[in-house]
Amino acid sequence: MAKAAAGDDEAWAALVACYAPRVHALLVANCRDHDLAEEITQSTFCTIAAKVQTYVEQGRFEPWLFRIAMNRLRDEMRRRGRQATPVSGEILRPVAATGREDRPRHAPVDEETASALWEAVRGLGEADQRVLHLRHVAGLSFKQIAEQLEQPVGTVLARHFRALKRLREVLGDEIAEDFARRGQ
Amino acid sequence: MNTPDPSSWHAPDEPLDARCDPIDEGLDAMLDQTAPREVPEGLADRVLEATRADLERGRGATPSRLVFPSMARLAAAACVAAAVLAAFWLVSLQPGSPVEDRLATGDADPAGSVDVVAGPMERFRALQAVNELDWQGAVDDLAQVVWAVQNGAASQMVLSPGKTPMEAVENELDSVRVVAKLEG
Repeated sequence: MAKAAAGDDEAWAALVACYAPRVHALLVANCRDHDLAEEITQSTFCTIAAKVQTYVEQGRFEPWLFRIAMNRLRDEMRRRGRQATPVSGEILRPVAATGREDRPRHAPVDEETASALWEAVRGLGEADQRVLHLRHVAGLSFKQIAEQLEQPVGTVLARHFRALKRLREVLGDEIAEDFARRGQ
Repeated sequence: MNTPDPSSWHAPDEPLDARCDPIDEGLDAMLDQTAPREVPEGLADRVLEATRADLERGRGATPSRLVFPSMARLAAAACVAAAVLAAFWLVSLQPGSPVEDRLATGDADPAGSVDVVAGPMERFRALQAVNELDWQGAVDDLAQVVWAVQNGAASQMVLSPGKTPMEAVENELDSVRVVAKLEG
């Protein structure tokens, strides 16, 4: 940021190249709308660019960036009157089918399995989804998630634990264990 | 610019909540492997283009907070020091001021006590005396004046015209108070 503020265009380009995909992915995971995600990604970086000179490095760039993006998305969703779509039984059916197949351990994860797992995530509550998205889609550490959510790290760890438990409930024990084996 | 490989970011490898069992850990790893990280082609380029104007404006913005706090503190300290010196300088120009009397009764210029602040050299000496004013010196001067009064040697003191030995004691006391305040 300091280099970008000092007029280094390459530094700014590197920053955008590094973070724009992560911001975009997080937004898509939350709104499932690529166009809206790109629009908000651009808007977020416009805000960052406008504050490039006034930003003071405190080791909290990522939480700051993702907070701006998520606030923008929340405002936009509110403006559009959209609601998150709860996961339906039909959506969960492929999860069961995928999970019961006899697969060798550590097999490469196919697209169908990945899709089924994340559909199950979408069946969780908003707070559970948020922590899983920030950790796995945005790639933030628990400390950064805590800063972004303005909660203690212990609370975030506990929330993540509860999110995994609920995900296991949604998937069912057998499927969850199968997924876990393949994930390890 | 090439968009970086979307799989190039992952959740940091860090300990989960202590209550997590191997299945939770496996699910966590599975979520990381399968997280949706699709990035549209050319996203970073479009974000760069969109932020161009804001970046230029942001670079021209005045920092709302000081970027170099240590340098700012040094500059502020220098300003305060200059202001204190200027205040002493102005005080020294006032006829009958404590500083003038101190010069007249002290050891700075015993011979020229009548017209202490008349010329530039005297003003310089006054400023020098103010600069050199310290706790030990002020206490010593006060002790000397008090000793002279208590031992009947007040008539030998060099005083400003119209000043009494008790006023000289008061002036020295003032010097001690000033130094005590400045040096804490």
